[in-house]
Amino acid sequence: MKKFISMPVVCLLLALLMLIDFCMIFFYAPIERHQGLVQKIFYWHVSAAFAMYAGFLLAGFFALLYVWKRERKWDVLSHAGATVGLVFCTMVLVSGPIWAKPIWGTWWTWDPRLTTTMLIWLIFVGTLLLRRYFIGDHRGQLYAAVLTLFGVLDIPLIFFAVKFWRGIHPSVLGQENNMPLEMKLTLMISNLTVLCFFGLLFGVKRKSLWLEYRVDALCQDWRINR
Amino acid sequence: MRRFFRRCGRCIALEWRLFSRQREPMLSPFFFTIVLIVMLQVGFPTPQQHVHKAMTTMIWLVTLFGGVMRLTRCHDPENEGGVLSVLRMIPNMAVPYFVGKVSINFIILLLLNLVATLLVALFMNLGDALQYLSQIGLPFLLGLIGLAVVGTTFSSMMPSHGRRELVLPLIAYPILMPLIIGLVQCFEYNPMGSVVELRWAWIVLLVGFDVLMLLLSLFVFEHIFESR
Repeated sequence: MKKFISMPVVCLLLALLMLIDFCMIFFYAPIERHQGLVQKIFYWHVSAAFAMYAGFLLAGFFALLYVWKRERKWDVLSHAGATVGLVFCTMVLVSGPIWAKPIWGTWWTWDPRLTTTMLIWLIFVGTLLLRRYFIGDHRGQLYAAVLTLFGVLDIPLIFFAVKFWRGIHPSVLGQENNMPLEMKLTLMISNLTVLCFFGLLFGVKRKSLWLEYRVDALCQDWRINR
Repeated sequence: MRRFFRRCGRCIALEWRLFSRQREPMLSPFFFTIVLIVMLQVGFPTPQQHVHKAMTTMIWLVTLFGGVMRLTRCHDPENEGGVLSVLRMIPNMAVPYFVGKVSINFIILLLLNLVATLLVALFMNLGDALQYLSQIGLPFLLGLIGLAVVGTTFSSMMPSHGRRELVLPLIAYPILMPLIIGLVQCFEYNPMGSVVELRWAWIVLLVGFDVLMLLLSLFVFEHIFESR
């Protein structure tokens, strides 16, 4: 596929979008009356959560294709999705306690939403660990894809499991809220920025994994022909 | 279809023969369970009014840890002497082999669970052990089915891996988390700490987990079986 925009231009555009987003977060969106300045974490915390789900769902979809077709390109995409999803999951898990400490008075509580996120993080760390354990063995890709499938199917079950608990974490989706227009607009721009950031990371990771695979294949050919 | 069921039956019978012949690998999880019970009893002394509540969690956890210990090595006999290579040459053998393994693993886990329940009841001086067993029976059966299915599938991915004892718990426990949460949460206790009734929403979750994991395992097992 022909490249229309080079990587430095993409990075520059993303940096510009991030700058606009930060300006909106700190100068356009109003300061929340009760929570104060710490509430500003909300914009990237929520957006990172969306990016996390996007990464894990992509990983699951491509893992299914890999198990079915057994073509390396699907494994590369699944691996990239899981890795980038994990980066955003970590971002959610780190930004959450920073926000929670001044508001809830504790870094961590076994709230359903927090527990869910922690479990998803553990599952996908497991897929990456499995790849490391089977390094240089083609079965590692299949096993990682299988684990990813189990993990993705486990996510709704974990959600149901924790739905019955009463939690203190507020819900952003599916509930009416009286957020001011400035906050809503800033959240939308943050979502767009973080998803673009996700897209960039996903593309870079996919490319690096593909190159890694090509180098491995060339080394193998060289060893056979020698 | 009849041929398929006959194959499954034969696989279960062969697995049972293996189970009855190999004493040491089979007895190790039972011994480990006893060690765990003693450790938990000494480490976390339970007040008499919380005995039932503590028992349920303790029985489930020791079954889980002892069970994973057993599941880690459940494909060992087939790896010796090229049995697996022969099995792979037989067409449509993956699913009967899987059904055989899951069935025997479920039976072993059930035995492990019974031993754990009786020992915990003995150590905690529980008078109405049989009544208690009938109260916790259904959720534990569902939990053991899920554990057997997930454990058998994952252990088949690493039969010859040198670090399987390390890898299997790392990947299996997070996946088993809905089962672990569901089983701990599905009992309603009265203020005295006894089990009053079951929370059916959690039972439905356990059934959902078992069905979903079984279907997914049947889908992926053929691919795993051929790759080994």
